[in-house]
Amino acid sequence: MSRFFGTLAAAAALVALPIGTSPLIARQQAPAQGGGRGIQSNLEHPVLPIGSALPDFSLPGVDGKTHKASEYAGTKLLAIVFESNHCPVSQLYESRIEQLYEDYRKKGMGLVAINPNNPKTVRLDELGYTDVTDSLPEMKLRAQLRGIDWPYLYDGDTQAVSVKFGAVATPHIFIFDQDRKLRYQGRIDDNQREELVKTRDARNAIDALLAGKPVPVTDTTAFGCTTKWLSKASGVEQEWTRIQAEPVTVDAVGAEDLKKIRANATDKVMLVNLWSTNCATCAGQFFDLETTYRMYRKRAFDLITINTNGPADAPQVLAFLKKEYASSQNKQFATADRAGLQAAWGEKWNPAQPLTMVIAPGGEVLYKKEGKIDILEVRRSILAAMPDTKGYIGSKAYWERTVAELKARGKTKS
Amino acid sequence: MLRWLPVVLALAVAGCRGSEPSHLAIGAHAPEFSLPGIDGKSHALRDYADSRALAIVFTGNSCPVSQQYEARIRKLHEDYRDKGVSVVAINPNAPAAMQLADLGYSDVGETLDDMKARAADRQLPYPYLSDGQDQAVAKKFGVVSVPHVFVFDQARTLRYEGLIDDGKQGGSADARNAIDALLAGKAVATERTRVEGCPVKALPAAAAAQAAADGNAAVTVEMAGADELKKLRQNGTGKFLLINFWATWCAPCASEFPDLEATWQMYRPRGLEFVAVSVNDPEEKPGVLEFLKTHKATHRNLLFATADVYGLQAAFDPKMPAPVPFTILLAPNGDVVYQELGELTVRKLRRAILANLPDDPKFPGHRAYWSTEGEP
Repeated sequence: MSRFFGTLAAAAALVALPIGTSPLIARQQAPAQGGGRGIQSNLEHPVLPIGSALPDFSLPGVDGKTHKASEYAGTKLLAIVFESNHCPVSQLYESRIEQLYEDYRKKGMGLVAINPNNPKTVRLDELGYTDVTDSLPEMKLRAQLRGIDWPYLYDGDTQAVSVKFGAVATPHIFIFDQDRKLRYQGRIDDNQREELVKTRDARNAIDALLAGKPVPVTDTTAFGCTTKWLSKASGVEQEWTRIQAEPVTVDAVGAEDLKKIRANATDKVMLVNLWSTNCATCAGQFFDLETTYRMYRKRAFDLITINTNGPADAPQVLAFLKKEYASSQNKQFATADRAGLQAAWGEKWNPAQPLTMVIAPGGEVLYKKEGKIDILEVRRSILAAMPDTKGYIGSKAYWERTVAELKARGKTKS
Repeated sequence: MLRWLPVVLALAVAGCRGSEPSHLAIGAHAPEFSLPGIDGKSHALRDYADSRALAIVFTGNSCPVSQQYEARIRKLHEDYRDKGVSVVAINPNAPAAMQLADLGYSDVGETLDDMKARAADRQLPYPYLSDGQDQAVAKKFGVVSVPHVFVFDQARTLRYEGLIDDGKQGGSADARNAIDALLAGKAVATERTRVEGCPVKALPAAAAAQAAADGNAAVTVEMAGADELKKLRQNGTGKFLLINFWATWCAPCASEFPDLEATWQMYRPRGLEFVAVSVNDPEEKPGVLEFLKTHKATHRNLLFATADVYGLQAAFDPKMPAPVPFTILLAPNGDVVYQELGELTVRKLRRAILANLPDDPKFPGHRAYWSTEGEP
């Protein structure tokens, strides 16, 4: 019975595909809720069936140029990989995509990556494993950061190309032969953890095609983060409404409290920002700090803001925090003895400037900066410190490597 | 526990006893009201001053009897609109008093937003007002169950109260008879009828609702290998089984989880089973357990026993899509009656559950109501 239904679904997909986003597809969605016997495959936008021609595309890339399908006509094979910035699974596959690109470029394969997501549909709470979201300018930042030198294109504006492919998730790979017929689609390999990989499905398909042999396995499922379809409600506006409704409070802190915060006896990575009013740099970067809090707060992370003005300025401190919807832990110096409390915190800095620190559980300082911060640098140091066991195995190492590479690059420069 | 046991209220008798709370008496003047409606405006008694007759219907979203009457209230509205008769629906249920288990027959609760959603789904064209904040209007009318209609003449004197009709094919259309009599300038033959329906959810119940919600059952997670997942797919529970595949690092999963919890709480008195399956790596168990505890997830929880995600997914079902979240509803025989890849729309899920749970003999037609969208 289930086999019968599977065939029906496949047939429906075949009919619906060449028409793109026609009403046929919409109608096909209807039986999804309640009619079927077995699980139906990717109903929202059916996956391109094996044998289909390469869908045409013309999309902006991180190199500032527009890339078209026709531009790769000279390559023997063409791999299209859907990947994204925000998805931790996609991040773990970046180096494997790079290897595919490097290994097969010489053998005549083109590789093009496409990000199907629109940043407008990605909520802040979906950015728990990333420094940037899924916009084209931020794809450029990721490409620079990670040395992505294959074409990385943005389809988030309309998702027209992603719909044609039926990109289920990031990552999801499609391999076309010389006639630009689809010969393999699905996962890159059989385990998100590279050290556990046994079957390299995409490589097997490519090797077979290069050798003129039949592709051993043509269809696999692709694990990862579901494509953020524009057609689905994203909850971005509701998230912002919720954030604006969160309570904003401030507690006074004395010398002992400050020492305790500084020692960080919690199991969370702590971002601490010491700031004062009438400090343009402080005000200018406060929103970024709160955004960072909203991104990581469901993980082993917390943000503490500490105002150094002293109790007399309590009303204006609270007014500022409320304007920023600062639902983080907010503190303010309990006495006017600013120098004494700075000493209790254990740092010396110009109190007219902000001091920003990332403190690991146990008190180790992972990041410290007086003055203007690079918020992405702050985020990366946090991402490289949060434990995988309460997150995603491999993510910590990915960010540790990134931070280390950046440091090495910085040294070469200077 | 059957929470919606139809209450039979001998209101005429109750009205005679001085000690019991009584409802508005025939001949009484219409109580004033000013309540927010689903159209975003405030509605007051005086807004209907021009109407030759005014029917105030107390009804709600979650009561299955009220649901059955939605189409008939609409018909009443449509049939008498051009004759100068206004039909105004008032929801007396306090959203704060609703327990999730009170929503076993509904996709939404009783807030004004929920009322808007229901009216949009079912294309309800009549004014639908919320008295849920303090139930002041319901108290003035003495309403203790829904549905309950009050028909006033042009002078706003109460001339009929009770049932909209007796619910039988070809039976007595009491409210219509009363309105017809008023329009013809005749005496109303039957002035009151006995109301049967669902009790109004009143505010004092709110404390009890909170207490029930704070139950301290244990949260556990079992490691699931291929065999366990294969068994899960077959659904040996004998009941409808909701399964959600999720991961801690998947934000859409985390975002929809409270909705799934609430959905289970709503329908578990009617026999719905729920199993949440984490596709996390076994090494990520501390995060999984912390998440489940945060959400007080006292249902059955499974965690993939090995890092072989694809292998375990195939063991569950070779056709299972790989990304998360993925949610399916299995019939007792293992048929998939609902599935959603990516973050789900909770009301779509709830309607699928309502359209599939076995019909309740107390509320004939309830499943059919949920098997249709909009037009009855």
